[in-house]
Amino acid sequence: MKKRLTYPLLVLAFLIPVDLLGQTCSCAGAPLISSQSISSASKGNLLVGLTYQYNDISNLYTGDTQLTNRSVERNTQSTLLEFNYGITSRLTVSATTTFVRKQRTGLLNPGNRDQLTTQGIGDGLVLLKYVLHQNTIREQYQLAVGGGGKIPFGKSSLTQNGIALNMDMQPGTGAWDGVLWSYFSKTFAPASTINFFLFNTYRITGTNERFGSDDRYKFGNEWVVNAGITDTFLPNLSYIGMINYRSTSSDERNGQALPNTGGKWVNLEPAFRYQVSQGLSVKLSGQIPVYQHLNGTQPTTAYTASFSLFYNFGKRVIF
Amino acid sequence: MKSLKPFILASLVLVFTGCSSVNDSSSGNSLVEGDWLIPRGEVVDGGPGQDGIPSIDDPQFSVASNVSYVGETRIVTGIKIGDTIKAYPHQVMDHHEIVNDAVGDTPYCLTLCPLTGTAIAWERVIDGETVEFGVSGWLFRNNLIPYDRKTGSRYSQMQMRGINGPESSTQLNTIQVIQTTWSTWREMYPDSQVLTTNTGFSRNYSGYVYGRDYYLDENSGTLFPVQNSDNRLPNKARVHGIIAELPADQNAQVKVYQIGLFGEGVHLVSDQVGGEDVIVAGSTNYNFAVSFHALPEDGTELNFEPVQDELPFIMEDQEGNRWDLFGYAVEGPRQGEQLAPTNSYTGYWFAWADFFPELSIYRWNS
Repeated sequence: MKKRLTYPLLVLAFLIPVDLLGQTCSCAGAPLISSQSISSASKGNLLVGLTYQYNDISNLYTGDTQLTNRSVERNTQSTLLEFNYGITSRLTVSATTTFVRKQRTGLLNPGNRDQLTTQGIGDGLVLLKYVLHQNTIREQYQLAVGGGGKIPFGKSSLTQNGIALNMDMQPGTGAWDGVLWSYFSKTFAPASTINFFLFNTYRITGTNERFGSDDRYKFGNEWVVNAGITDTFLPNLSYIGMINYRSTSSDERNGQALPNTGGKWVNLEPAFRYQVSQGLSVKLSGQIPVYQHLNGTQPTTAYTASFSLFYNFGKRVIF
Repeated sequence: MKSLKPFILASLVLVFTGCSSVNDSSSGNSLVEGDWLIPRGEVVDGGPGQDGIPSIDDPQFSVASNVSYVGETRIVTGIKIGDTIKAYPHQVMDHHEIVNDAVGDTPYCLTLCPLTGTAIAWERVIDGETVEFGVSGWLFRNNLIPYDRKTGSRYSQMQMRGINGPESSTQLNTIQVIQTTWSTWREMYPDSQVLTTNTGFSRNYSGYVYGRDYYLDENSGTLFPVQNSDNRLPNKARVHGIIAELPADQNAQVKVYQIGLFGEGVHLVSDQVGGEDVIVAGSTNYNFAVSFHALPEDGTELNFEPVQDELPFIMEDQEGNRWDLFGYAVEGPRQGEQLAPTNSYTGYWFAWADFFPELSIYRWNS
């Protein structure tokens, strides 16, 4: 029974898709960090994840209406390296670093291609996660909470031949943010091998001073809720179906809300995961927007595709 | 240990490629090269990139009396070339910022910067060749930087000259335009041609690109930093400014007239800017201001009096001439003559103050 419980939970822990905290405004996809994907690591265990994500930001919306005849194509490619270490059986520390590559291409003047690419280390995130309730055979649920901060490692002052680039082309945000996190999962053994999970993240954003100390830019606060199920349907092969809700308030400059920033998104996030060996697993996942209501007119994600490697150093995870 | 390798490798990649970089793989006139006549450090990327805000290159028009999509109080920019009168509602212009248009043998582009509220038109001819202008995606002190698609030169809209590239320092040959409300325009020129929403792009032309609040007097917010903040007037107060002589750089002598203080009906201000006599006509309720050199070509001193309730007639003189909003004598012995427009345009106060920190404000007699 222990094995029956452990394996699905291990799957669950690794499988929850990376949820990128869209950093800006317009693009709903300037990546920040994932690291909410793993609920906890058992004492002494180190769980490491490496994720590459391609985010195609080629849709254009005003409110909930898609616009045609777009003039710009964008994409963001992110590499995330995350570490989760179990300090005690209940307390886990998570750290994530990112490397971000952003590309913007003009579509209307092909004879004079306008293409700009920026890249660099993005911001980082450190979270402490505490398991309030461990999953047991008698009480088959897990509840964890956490909190931490986003650290502005990434540059937010890149220039193009001396011209200051817009925030949505910067690898970093230049701001310290507070992050609150919670996680709930439920298993139904022995009746079913399906697992249900729900986790959410709230980001309280700080300000940056990219144009000087008297000029303060603040990204909108952000709330992300993820709910889904996961199950094994072939030996070593699992699926996950998740729905994601994300809401951001408008960015602010010197306390005044900026137009064309913020909005609400609902996405479907299917994923498959293959357990290569006891410690190593790989995952393919995607994100498909099903609804968005954006403030003003903004480019937004058309789809994302991600590939992840996870490895568990240490003894097996026992929840 | 073997299984550690991918992660160690990834860590090393992150560490050693950690230097941030910018790669401009643009080609042709999208490249950023050469010197600038304005401080390059104050040029910012507005976000969409070159042509990310698409200009209208095949504008479609409809007769004003048939147009229903424009809100009564929304601003339009009007132009008169020969007998042709056209209007460009900002509801559409806000999304495109540039229209490449022509009337007869006069190709011109009408440009609107929604952030500074400035609408300026100029002839689009370089070395005898008609060219198109587009939106570079950059801003200087919140103001539009257009570029031409022939040479790739960039221009400062409010300075009305080339600022980077082969056409750097070239003064643009401007054409007078007028900003007013749609209700005023439609009443004045019901037969004029009005830009339609048939632009080739699907956009929300009924809304406000930068939010309704952005355009309000009481909203002091700007999207990008203001270098020369001046609190003598509210940031978003609409003013008509006259630039005494070109180039319109920061040393230019400038005087502005607040539209909100002209009062009801048409009022005239006889003034001097840079030693030149000018006549400024404006109205708060009709929401416009225009200015001309006060002396006609023959140097006759005319005494202008405002004309009320007969727009587009705005003034008459002792010779019996009646002058319209574009400075044309439409009745009287000077019929067909035009008072020379000043180097002027209408825009938000904060932008005028930022571009021309030494500018003066016309003082009204209470």
